[in-house]
Amino acid sequence: MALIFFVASLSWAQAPEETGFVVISKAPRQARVAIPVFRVRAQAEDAFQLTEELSSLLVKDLEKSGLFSFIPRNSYLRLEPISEEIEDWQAWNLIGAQVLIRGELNELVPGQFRLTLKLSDLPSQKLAVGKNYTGAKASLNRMIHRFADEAILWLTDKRGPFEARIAFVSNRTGRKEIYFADTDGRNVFQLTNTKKLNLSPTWLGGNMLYYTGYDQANPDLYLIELSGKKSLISSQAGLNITPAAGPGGKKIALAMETPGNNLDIYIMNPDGTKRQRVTSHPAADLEPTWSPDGYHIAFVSDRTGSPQIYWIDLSKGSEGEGNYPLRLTYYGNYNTSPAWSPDGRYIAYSRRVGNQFDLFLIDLKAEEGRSEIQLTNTPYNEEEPAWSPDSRMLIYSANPGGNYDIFMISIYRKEPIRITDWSSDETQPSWSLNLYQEGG
Amino acid sequence: MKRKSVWTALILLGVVFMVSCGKNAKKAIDEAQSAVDRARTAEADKYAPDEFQSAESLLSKARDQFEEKEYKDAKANAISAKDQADLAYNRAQERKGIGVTPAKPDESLAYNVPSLSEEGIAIEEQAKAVLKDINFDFDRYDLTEQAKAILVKNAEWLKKNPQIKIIIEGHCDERGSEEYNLALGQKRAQSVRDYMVSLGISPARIKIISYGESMPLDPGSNEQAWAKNRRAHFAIQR
Repeated sequence: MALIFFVASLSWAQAPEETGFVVISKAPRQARVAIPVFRVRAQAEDAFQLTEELSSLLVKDLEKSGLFSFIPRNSYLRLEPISEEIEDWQAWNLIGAQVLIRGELNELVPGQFRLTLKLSDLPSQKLAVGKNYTGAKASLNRMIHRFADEAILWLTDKRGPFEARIAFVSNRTGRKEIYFADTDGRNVFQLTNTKKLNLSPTWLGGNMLYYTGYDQANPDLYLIELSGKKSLISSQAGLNITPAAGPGGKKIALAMETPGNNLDIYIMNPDGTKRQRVTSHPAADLEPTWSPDGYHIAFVSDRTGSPQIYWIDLSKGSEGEGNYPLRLTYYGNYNTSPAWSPDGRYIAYSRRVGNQFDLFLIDLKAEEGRSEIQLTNTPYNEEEPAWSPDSRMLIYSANPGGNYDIFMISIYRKEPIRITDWSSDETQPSWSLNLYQEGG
Repeated sequence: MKRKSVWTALILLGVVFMVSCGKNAKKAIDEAQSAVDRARTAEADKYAPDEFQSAESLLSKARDQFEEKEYKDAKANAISAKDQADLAYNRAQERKGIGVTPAKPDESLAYNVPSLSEEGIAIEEQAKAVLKDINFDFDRYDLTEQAKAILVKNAEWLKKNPQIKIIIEGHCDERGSEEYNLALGQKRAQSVRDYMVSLGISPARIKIISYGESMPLDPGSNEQAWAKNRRAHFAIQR
């Protein structure tokens, strides 16, 4: 169990100062960041190695985001500041750095650490973000993720996505079970162990997951806490699949069969009560995803003979009462796994191109109306995209080495980042809300 | 020899943790090996060739991973290999018992049920051997003529054995969305159920379930494997 204890988190820089050299609106230009290896004052034998790891974890998070580019350490002219309070700004300007992040790790008592991180805005020569975090060794990684999120918040006015959890399905035991981990792929924990079939994990906030389990020889919907405690939410005979938590976790959507009806989309309370039917069509409707305002649901239907993505306006009631779903995808004959970005702007999905699947974005707010962006283009499969809570990254499954692993991609940088590297298949990832905001 | 030297090196290094992981993996591999041996003795390579080959390939993968010191993966594959080998053994025993060789699927002997019952074979065992899988085209759930012919024979047997209740499982190949494949597997199971009902089998005797792409018969990623995996399977309700 990855219980992380956060003792304190205090900021000595008040509100981040307006520095104004990078304003992110659409495709941001990357801020060039220098991060010397953190200083260390600790008794622990592995303290130096620890600071190396922590510094490179911060570099990785910031690079992953697609919002920062890291200046390699071999080009730094001066590793240490002139004095405790005085930085040699010129030395950093000369190598083209825009942002400098310094860290210091102190071991307060054995096993108890304080990590101090300072972000300086080089053009204005000012300290912009400063944080002190204290906690046990096991919480150090999470401190780094939190600071990376803070740095992204300072740069873009929107918090980063890294202090969160990811969930996915793995068959590494020979059976498909649900796992969760940190966003860097560490602290992996196997959540289900039914030795049956467990699919489609999707976060409700940061501490609970909906998923489909075959415990009772039928694909039923469960809600599970990270302690492993679970409750049965929907168990219609037949399919209870592809759950999606609505905005604020106030409603869920589910594809379900009811007596005499084939697979349609339903919405209900988080505990499965107050069920309302959304679609009514003899074709299969599934994989619902919510718009952030809760007024629309996009979903997959094979009503024209091949799976395509549609959306329906919930404010006009259910399908059929003068309310018909509109088709969103017209290219390709196999479009599935829609995921609406939390900021409302994009619907990500996977499309079959030739014999392979690639990731695409529908930009709902493009200037020229709706437009499509191809995110990946490889000779293998990218599938099952899910959004980061800040709407700037996707987590997905891909099989470059034959088996499926979990990857992330920044929609700005468009370079895949590997998260798992097991020889089994890891699929159906989901990214939780930010734990800092969730209080998880 | 090679394995021995790896072991020696590990012990010399005193990497206690790895040795214990390695031991678990080694134990799983040994168990898988005995299961494969048992299946081979039961002529599973002849009577249940798909399952047997899959067991052998998983076992050899596990051995490779063991050599690479990927103990967790080696163990997982060894466990799967043992499962497959046991399955191969069971199927081979069933099929040998009633003289069905799956390599010749059209042999009429398979359907010569009455005389077989006289030989005292449990009805469930017969059902497993007689009720055949049917296959589907990619992203399709309609029944081919070949599939219908098989279902007619399955229905005939079910009529003669009215006490048997069945579960029709819908399966898909690995391509495409896992979630869409759950819906497709369900439609395949439904088409088969509807056809069985049209042939006079009571719907009360039939349950259906979709496993999507999660339970492939053949773990391969090629046309041959995919064709085998797009199927509806008959299981017995207990």
